[in-house]
Amino acid sequence: MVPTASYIALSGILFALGMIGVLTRRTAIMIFLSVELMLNAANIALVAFARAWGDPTGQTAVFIVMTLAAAEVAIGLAIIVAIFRKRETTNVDDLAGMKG
Amino acid sequence: MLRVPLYLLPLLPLLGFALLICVPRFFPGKVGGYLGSGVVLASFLIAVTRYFGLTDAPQHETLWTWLPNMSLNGDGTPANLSVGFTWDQLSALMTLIITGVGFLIHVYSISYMSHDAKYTRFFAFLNFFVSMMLILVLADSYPLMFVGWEGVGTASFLLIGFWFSGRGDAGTAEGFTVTNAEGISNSNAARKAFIMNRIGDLGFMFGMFLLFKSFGTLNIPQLAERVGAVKFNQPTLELACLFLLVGAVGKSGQLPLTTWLPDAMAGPTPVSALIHAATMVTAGVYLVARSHFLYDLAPTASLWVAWVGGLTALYGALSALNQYDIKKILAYSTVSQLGYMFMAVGLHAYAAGVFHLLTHAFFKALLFLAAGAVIHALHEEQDVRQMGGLRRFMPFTHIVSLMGVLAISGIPIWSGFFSKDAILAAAYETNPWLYVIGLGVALLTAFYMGRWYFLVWRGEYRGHAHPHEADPLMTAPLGILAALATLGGFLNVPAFLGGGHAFDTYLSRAVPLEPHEIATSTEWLLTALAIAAGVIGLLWASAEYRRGSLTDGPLGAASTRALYLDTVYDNVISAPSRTIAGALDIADRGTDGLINSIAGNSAAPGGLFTLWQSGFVRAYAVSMLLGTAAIIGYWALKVIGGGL
Repeated sequence: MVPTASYIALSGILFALGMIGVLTRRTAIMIFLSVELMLNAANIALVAFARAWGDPTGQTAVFIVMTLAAAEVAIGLAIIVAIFRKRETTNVDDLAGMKG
Repeated sequence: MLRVPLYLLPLLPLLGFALLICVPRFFPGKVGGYLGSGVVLASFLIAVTRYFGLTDAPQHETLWTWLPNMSLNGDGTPANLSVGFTWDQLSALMTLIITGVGFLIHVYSISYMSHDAKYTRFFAFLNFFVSMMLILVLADSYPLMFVGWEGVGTASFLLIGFWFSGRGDAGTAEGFTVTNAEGISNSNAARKAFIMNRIGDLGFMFGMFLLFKSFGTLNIPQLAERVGAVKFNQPTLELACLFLLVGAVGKSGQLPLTTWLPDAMAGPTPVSALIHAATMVTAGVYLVARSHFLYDLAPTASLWVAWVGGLTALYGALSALNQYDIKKILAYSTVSQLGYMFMAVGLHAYAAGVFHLLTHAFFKALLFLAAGAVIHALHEEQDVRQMGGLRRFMPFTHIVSLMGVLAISGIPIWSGFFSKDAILAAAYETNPWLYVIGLGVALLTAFYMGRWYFLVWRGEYRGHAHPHEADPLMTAPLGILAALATLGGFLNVPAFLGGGHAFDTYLSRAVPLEPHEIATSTEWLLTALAIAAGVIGLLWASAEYRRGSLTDGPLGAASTRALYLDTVYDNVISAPSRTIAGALDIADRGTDGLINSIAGNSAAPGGLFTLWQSGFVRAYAVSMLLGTAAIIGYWALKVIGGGL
């Protein structure tokens, strides 16, 4: 049986990769994909701990996260499409209209 | 017999107002004028049918509960104040005057205002005025009367300032320039009227408060009952009556709140005839007559009413002596005649005062409308020095004006003779000083009206326009009013002239009649003196006219500037107010400067924080990461620390 620590390590690596993606990528789509990666890293950690503790709460939480992620994808993609139609770009550095 | 409900009287003109103001597009051309006149005629016809249904006891018609708990029962438990109308001899008379004379003036306006750009709106405002005035006179409680009171004030404001950007003519007539200066002066006249009326309104309200405190009701019939039954504080009643007098003084242009009325002539002439001569300004007289049960018990306040009236009559007459504006002469004359009415009601000769109100409505509306016809014919010329000899150009208007002049001068058989004589007799009976003033004013009245007549109608024409007779829509109302002004006096022929006091008897069912105790021989003497005053006044004017010195009337500039009352107000009230306002302005600017500098300096440090808001999503992501890391780090340290 694979030890829990390995799962957690995988989760950590995926989370870090996602975070780097969010911080370095300039295209809204890629940032979006990276955010999904981070969410699924959290999901792996939740499932791993659920198995380690023999408590199904973590698994339940995963389902909630998945549903929310699906909703988020729908809305997020819609926003990105809308922005693209308006501005003809998805480069987030060009979308700096909220500068104070 | 079918009784038409009273609420239709004010409702019909209100409906006309709503239609004309909301959907003027539906009433192109002169349709608005005919609609406006039609609703007033309908009200008049209803008033006539209801007149024949008058009973000795007043008829009350309650509509709905208006102010809950705004009234107290006799035992102090709360009751509701309702909207209700009263139909008695006094309100019937007022209603007939308002709708009857009002209708004639509406018809006249159809032609008079026909070139005006705001034609339909004019009739909307006139209808609104008629509606509010009817609420005022029909109201069965002071608060409802106050609603009408404010309504007519608003209508007056709107109509005085009707030409707030100069006259609304298309500018076809010659010698007729649309100037901003004229518009500003008109707007100022409107504001002046409104503000001076506010002072009076405050008095009216204080009067209501005091009455409510003393008697626990503002319903007029209830109040009349309680004044007779309840023990009350005499000084409080006197004070309440004095406050009501302040209200009446404001609305009727009496001293000391008189100066708005002559300025109100800035409005179109039909407005001057309807509002500032025949109806609205008599609201003060109506208020005192309606509140007769209070004034009967308040001798001091009544004396004040009489003296205010007497002094105003004198003031108005002196100011009218040397005016040059054809309407200003009539305006000061209105002030003076209203003074007569106040004098009469103050002396508890309500029938005499209200009778003069009736005849004055006829002859003053007539004179104003005739003046309007002259102004119209001379292309908006109002200076009597530019007139003269108009009887050749406008024979009909000349004859009706002559009727008006004879009526106001108190020449026998014309209506003013009977009404003025009744007031003078009442004054002689109770207060000789007021009688002397009244007689002097009668002389001055005849003189300034004679001056008006000779300057406008006699001699050679001095102006440059091409006068023409008015059209039938204008002459017909003039003719009817002239007939009323001539024959109206026969409604109340006194006993010693073989009459039956018909009007006194009629009104005494609503307002008590003071018994006359003058010997017949004295009455003949008083009448002879009154006639003499009128005749001498007219002869004096005629003599001055023959000598060619009529243009400059007696008293010179003092009279032209209305005994400097406006100047005094300017110096005593306006100038100090302006100084105080200037000082406050400086203080205000100082405070503003302080606050603004604090605000400006607070913005600078705030500017530093705006750098944070770079607008770059990834910069925000970094801050989020750092923030999350900081929180997790904090908790991790805390857990480790706790574990140690």
